[in-house]
Amino acid sequence: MAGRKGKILVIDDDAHIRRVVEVKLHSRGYSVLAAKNGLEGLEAIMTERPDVVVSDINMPMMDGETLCKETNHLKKDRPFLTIIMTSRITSDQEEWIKDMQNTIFMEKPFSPNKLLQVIEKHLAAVRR
Amino acid sequence: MKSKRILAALLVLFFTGLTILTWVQLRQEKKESQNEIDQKGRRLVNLISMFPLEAFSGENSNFFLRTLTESTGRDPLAYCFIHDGQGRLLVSFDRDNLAAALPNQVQVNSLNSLALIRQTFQAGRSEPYYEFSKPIHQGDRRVGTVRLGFRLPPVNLFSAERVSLMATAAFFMFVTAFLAYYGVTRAFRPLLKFTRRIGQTWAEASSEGLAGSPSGGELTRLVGGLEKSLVFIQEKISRMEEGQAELSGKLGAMTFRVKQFEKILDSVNFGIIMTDLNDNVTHVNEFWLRLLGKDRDEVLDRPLAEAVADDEIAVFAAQKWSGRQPTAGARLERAFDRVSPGETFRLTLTPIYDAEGSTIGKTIFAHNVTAEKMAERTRQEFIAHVAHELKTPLATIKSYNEMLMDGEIEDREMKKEFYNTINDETNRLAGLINNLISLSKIQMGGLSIERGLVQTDWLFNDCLAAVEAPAYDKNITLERVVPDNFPHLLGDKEMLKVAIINILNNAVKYTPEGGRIKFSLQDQGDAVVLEVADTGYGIAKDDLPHIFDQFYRSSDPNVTNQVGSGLGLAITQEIVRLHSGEIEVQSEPGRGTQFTITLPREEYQIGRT
Repeated sequence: MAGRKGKILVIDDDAHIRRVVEVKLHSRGYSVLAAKNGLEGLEAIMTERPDVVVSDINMPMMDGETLCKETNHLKKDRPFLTIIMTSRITSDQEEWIKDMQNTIFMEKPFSPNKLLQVIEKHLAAVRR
Repeated sequence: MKSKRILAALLVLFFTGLTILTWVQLRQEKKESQNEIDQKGRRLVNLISMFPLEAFSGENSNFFLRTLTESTGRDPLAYCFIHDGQGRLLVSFDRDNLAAALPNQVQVNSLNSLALIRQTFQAGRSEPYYEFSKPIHQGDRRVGTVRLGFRLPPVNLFSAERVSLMATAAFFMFVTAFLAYYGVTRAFRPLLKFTRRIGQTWAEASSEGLAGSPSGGELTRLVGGLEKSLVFIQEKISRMEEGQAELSGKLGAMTFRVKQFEKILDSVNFGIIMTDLNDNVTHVNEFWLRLLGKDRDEVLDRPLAEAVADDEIAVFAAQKWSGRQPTAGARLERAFDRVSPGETFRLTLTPIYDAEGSTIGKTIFAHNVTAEKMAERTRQEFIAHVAHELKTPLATIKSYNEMLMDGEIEDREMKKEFYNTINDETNRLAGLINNLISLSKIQMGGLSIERGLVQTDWLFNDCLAAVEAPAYDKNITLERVVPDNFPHLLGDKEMLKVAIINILNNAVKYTPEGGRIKFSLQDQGDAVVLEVADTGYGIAKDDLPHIFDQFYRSSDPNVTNQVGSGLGLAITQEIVRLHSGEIEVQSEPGRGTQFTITLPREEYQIGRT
């Protein structure tokens, strides 16, 4: 059953966060891939073509903002959703997101249930 | 015969006086009406320029003209032209049909001036015309110009007022002349008598052969009287001289005071420009001159826009006032890269009021706010870091907890893993909060530092004990090197423990399994030297200058794979500094790192150095 519902890529330098997202989504029938930083994430987006990307912002090698900008052009052919998990406090630091397609913020600390709902809603809309 | 001559002279004097009086009065009248026109012109042109351009266009222009002519009545207003931004006429009121006779230069000057100007010109009549003009602004843009022309009212030599005044003056002069004639003849009578008597006396004296010795009595009295008058006049003159000296002294003192004020203004470290109501610069201090890169003569008494020669500042300074605040905002932040690269200055615009509370000019202050801005940015970065560091463990705790609460984890082992993670992250959060508290205490001036005698053997063993367990878990060998006799030290043991354990913890964290850590203490007489040397990953050359910065973390994967807040070494450095000590680091990537802390034993002070 795993994998049929959709492919999710989680990118975070914090192993605990990768783990909890993996456990939560896997139990609901998603195939979950994990990457430790933006660069690994970029590679996975290119090769694995995930349906949803869940990414942290502050990461070594390549941060979430750069990753988003690097992959934005791919969304013309492939409308995958990017969920940016942020622990920043002011939203004016995040003006750049307005220029990104299909990209939303989710504030840390986050609820795995809320994350699941957002992903399911997106996939349902895409597949209708 | 004699009295006839006097009468003729008096008549001539009388007519000359009357002519002079008339002339003075005419001059006075002209000056007054000039002043009146000047005041009226400035007031009216200021008033009109405050209205938006719409108030003069289309239907509104008739209404405006009606109001203008009704309110000015029989005033010497000759014309009123209002142009739009392109110079086209919106309103034309031309009482004297002057439009064609106006010199072209007057219009050119008016349409191009940046502020209120007054021009004088002749147009057919003998009396000059005065034109007042001012640009109309909307926001930052010049949208039009208002021009008002005034003429001096014609002088009527035989106005009822003048004739009655002259008649009164003539009467008084006539009476005065008569009285003066009478008075003079009476007043001179004793002198005439006296002269006659001197003549007689001399005649008598010479007939009696006594010439050469004037008779004492009256002559002595006369000379005495003259001398008294002379002394009186001299006294009066010297008193006047004293008065003048006092006055010029006062003037000197005042000039000195003005100069002193200018010196004070020049020495303050912010800029001040003051202008009058027509936006001409009345004062400017050194600070502003430096920013503008100009000499005082290039700025003083010039229109502000010309003096600053900077569009942004000119527009900022030309703001209109509504109440106590300029309409667009009283502050502008900008750089003067040519004179102070990389610095930010805040310009503040404020009106100057007179005693009655009406605006008589404006001031533009310039403050260097670079340091303020830097501090603000550092503060914001610090808060963002702290928020991020606090939220990271919190994110794990919240999400793991939610999974457990929802009963999503059925596997026993996984449940245990989740509980352990929550526990670890809670500890991490607590550690981080402790670090933040230490840091803020230290930065507030080390309020909580307690000086005391520190037994270095206890200190050494306590620190070592804190890292034994994690070192054992990674199979790291801890080597201790200590002297036979441990020296004593004055300081705060708990703080020193925090500082040294931070170093030891880092050594354990960044040394791979099976490595070695050497922890040594040496007594150097006047100092105690603690050394922590590991066989770890080492610190990259680029990272080395930053390792003591708050929240700095290397992007080396060996570092990012480990949990850390980037506060430990910052705290350690602060604590060592508070003990007047020194901390040094040597590192070679791939070989290991060595931290050396030197703490002076004597003559150290608690406090910042």
